[in-house]
Amino acid sequence: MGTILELRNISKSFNSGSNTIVVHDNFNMTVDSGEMVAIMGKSGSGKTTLLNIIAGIDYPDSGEYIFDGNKINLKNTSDGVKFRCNNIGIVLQHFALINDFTVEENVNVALWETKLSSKDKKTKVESILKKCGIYDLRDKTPASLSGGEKQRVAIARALVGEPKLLLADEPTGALDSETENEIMALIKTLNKELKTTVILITHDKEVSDLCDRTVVLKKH
Amino acid sequence: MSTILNNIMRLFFQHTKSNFLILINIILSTAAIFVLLQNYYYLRQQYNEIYGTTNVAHNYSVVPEFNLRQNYNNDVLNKSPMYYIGKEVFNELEADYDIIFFDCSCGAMDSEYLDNSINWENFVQTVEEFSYKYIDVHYLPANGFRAFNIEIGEGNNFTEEDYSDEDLSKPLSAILGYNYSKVFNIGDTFTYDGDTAVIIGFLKENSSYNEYGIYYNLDDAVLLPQIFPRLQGESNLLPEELYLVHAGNEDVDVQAAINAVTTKYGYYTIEVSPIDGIQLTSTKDISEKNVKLIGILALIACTICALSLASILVNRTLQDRDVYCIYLCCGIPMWKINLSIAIEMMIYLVISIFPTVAISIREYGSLIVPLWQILLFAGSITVISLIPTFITNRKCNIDLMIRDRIV
Repeated sequence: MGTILELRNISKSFNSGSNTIVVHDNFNMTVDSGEMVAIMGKSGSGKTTLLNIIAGIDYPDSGEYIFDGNKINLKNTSDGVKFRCNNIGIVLQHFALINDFTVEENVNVALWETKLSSKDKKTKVESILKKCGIYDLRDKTPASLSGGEKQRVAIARALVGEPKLLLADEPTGALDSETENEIMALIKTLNKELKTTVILITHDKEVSDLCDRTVVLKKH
Repeated sequence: MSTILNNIMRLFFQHTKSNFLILINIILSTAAIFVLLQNYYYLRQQYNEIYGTTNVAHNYSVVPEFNLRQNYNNDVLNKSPMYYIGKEVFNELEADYDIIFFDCSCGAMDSEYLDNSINWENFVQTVEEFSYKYIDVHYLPANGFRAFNIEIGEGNNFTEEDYSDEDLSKPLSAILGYNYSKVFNIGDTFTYDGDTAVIIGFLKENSSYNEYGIYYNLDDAVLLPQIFPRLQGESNLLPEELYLVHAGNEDVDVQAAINAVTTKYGYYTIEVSPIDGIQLTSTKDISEKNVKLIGILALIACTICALSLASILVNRTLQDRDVYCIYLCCGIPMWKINLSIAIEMMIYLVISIFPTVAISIREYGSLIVPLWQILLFAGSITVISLIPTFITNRKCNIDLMIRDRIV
């Protein structure tokens, strides 16, 4: 099992008025391929900032970011978009679905930038919908779905492009405990089935316990 | 391409109300541009037609202000500053090469009062209706010869003394048309109603001038100096009747030339109106202002259209920010999102042309304003109105969505 992601001496700070807030100072982390890692920490400990750096949404002030053996040096937003398109799927707490699209269309959005034919796209979408257990809901719009179903759609969208890494920011944060278990079970299953590396941010100990490893961030 | 098409379709179906407003806005903008351009062309065409050189007035009526034409036969008024000022004004105006005062420039000498020792038969003209026989006579001002390009063929031109009204008892000087040179000699005299005239020269053959658009051939005419104010037969400094002014130079602004003189001596009104063409002075200014005004109106209309369109677009984009963040999340670059919006707007722009084209063809039988110009202006409005949307989109980022600040 090789290393999919390595953060070396990552530092990141923000300016807030005349103050500089150090979020990460020489932070190091390694994630192996196929691993499922939970990141925990109090508010302001830099969980989301870390997720942003890994996803190519934000850039570290210093340090090295190595993804799948390649040093990642993103210079602009466009580089970040390209990087995400090829490597990363993102799941957010509030699902981030397009309300006017059906479930199938929502998932299909992640394939718009690929060069697959419409038929192949449809096949892939149907396949992931089945894996996520929402194939029967494919013609429904998000408004008619429950929280758990919405999150399944979000997971399906994040994984339909077969990314190497799934980043989930509090994926169960907006769900009740029963649904939380279902979603975590789904993520765990997909992690195993698809061999997709998963990094998820959570406040929930039960969620982190389901992961292979937990990284706890401390506030500076 | 799939991304762009998909987003255009989404925009089309997801924002029907906004899209309807956008379409109406662009249609109205295009129609407004069409109307303004059409008016501009009409005005420009009218302007060019009116101010072509053939239409510029050569003859003007001049009405001096009351103060400048009151009776100075009075001993007190005769010595008043007004008298001298008035005289100075008109001396200066007369001295201006471009301004020529005419009064009764074209007249007639009744053949009955002419010296009957001379054979005038060959030169007499007749008004059959009244059996009136006369010799054509023209009173030319000093600068009239130069202005009308009338040349002396033999003898001399009038001198300054000939135009003087100081000694009215001396004989008049006369220059005769070319045909008289076969009958008369220089130095010959003739009498008319008791006044004696000395022939000092003859005109070249086919000499002529044009006044009020009327052509006068001078071959059979007698030319006398036009003397102010003697020829008025009045003691007014200036006559109450209209004076006629001819601009020697076609481009001269007569009103401006008169103003330049009168303002030196005070504020006197001398109203100048065109007789044979279009007044070059104020009318041109007004027309130029109208053309400029249409331009300004077009600019204001375009700005309002652009602002209104931009406002609808930004509002729609703000509603779409979460969708765009999702797109970014899915690896769809922002430039493709922006491009899809721009293409969508161009589609609306093309659609919006049709009503204008249809109305124009129905009303005028053709598209009066070139299509490319309407597209250029309407396209510019659309492009400008897209700028705030692109700026709004630049602020879209996944971080905002992740931190739950926009969804």
